[in-house]
Amino acid sequence: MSGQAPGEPSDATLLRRHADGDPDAFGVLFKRHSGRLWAVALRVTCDPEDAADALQDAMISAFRRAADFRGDCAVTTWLHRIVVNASLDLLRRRSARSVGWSGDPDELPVPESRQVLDRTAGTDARLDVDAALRLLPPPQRAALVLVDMLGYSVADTSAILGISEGTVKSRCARGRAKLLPHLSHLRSSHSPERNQPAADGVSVEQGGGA
Amino acid sequence: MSGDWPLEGGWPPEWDDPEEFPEGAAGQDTEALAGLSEVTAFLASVPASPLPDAVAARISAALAAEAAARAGDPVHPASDARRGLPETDAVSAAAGPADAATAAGTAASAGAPSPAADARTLGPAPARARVRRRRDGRPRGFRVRPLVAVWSVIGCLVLVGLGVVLTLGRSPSSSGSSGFSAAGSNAGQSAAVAAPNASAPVPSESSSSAVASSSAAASFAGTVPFTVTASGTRYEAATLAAQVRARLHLPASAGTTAGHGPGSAPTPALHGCVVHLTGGLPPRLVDRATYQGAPAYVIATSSRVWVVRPGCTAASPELITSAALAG
Repeated sequence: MSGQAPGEPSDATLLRRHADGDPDAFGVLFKRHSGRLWAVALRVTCDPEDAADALQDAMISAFRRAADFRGDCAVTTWLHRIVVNASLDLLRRRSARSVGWSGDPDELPVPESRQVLDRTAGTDARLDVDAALRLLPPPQRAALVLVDMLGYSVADTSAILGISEGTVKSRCARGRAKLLPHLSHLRSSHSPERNQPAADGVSVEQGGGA
Repeated sequence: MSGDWPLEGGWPPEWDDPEEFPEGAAGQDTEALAGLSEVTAFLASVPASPLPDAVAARISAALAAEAAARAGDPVHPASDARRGLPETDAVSAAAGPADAATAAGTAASAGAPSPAADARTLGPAPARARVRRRRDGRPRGFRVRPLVAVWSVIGCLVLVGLGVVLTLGRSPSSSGSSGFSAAGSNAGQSAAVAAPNASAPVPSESSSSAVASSSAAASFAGTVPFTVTASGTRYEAATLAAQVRARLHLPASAGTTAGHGPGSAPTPALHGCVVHLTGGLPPRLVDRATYQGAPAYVIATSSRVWVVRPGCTAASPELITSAALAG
């Protein structure tokens, strides 16, 4: 999740170098934003294995399409968009094989990879939040994750998702309303401490208070 | 912003929002509004899991494979034409786990542009990943190369067909593959590069060689004759191309392996590896030696050299590095 240190080349410079044939530039770019991109993929897919697949898909896609980047947005926004779309694409493919589900988060199977995690309070909260997030349609989940969990502004989220700001607000509001009854037991026992987005390329302003 | 999937459309119906949420609908209920704010605050405080090292290594390996494929592209322009995958399909197919143990971190290493772009040291590329290439951003001069490759392949196919006809015509009683494998000289097997392995690179010589039809037929049958020398040469990254060029100019008695020169027969695995790398072209040199102090095979055609680990096979070329021999 490291950002750009003083004196290091900018994201746009790295991407241009990569497009020009520099074999190392994209690796630096990936390292710089991997933590943030992983968080996006993990929250949108709600599964570590799916998140790993989606992130790999996205990075390979970005690697190949670097020359398509026209610079009309920040490189991080472009990367986030590719990761979100890869995650949604993967979920869409998965959904074709999914079985019916009542909507009760208690009935959600917890992937084995997560069952072996330490049962700390933070992990418990994460598991419950993951289960609750699965209640939301993925596009709605993506908007809520970006705005509420990762701290992106509505404008940035709008750019990342390629939808209007009104739609972002709408999806966030619907998502919150849907999650409200499922998170009440956690909200009372949790101390507020907001996550902040990376400073480069996206704003730290909070938004989506629809 | 371009070059990614569209977000809207093609979703399962249950993913769509049936209607815009009326903003402020909850505002009439102060308690509900407070609840929604609490949800927002709670979600913002949930810690994110860090990127696991294994996932980072896996993705770095996949990127290293992409970099290796890209590094080989200028020499093997036909690979994209052969692949012919739509971009989204290629991306969808890209999720296969890469060999993180062997290539991890290679692409992610920081630093300035490589000073020797034609002699990069890269991790081995997983076979599946190597056929996925970046299709964009090539210098303009490269855009015509797929066309050249297509015409080369067509020319090769015609020559192979001619070879088959002539071979059958000369010995009508010997139909079948034995008729193909019996013929063959070193000069002309390059015509058969059209061959079989879709992920194999196509050497540049393939389009220019004058080809004897019988030898083309021999190559078509998969018999690329060569022997393996064991010079014990200590090849180094900085001087690899020069060392190989020097060896290629030695007389055959001094140990070059073109055709049936002195040396031992390759193992089937090594044979497959060499054919895979050269695209069916007979190598001018297959030398068991060391590279940067480690055991390696050095394989060379007239225009390119590959250095592979001793376990090289067609399925897993174990490529250490590759360089052009131009000039």
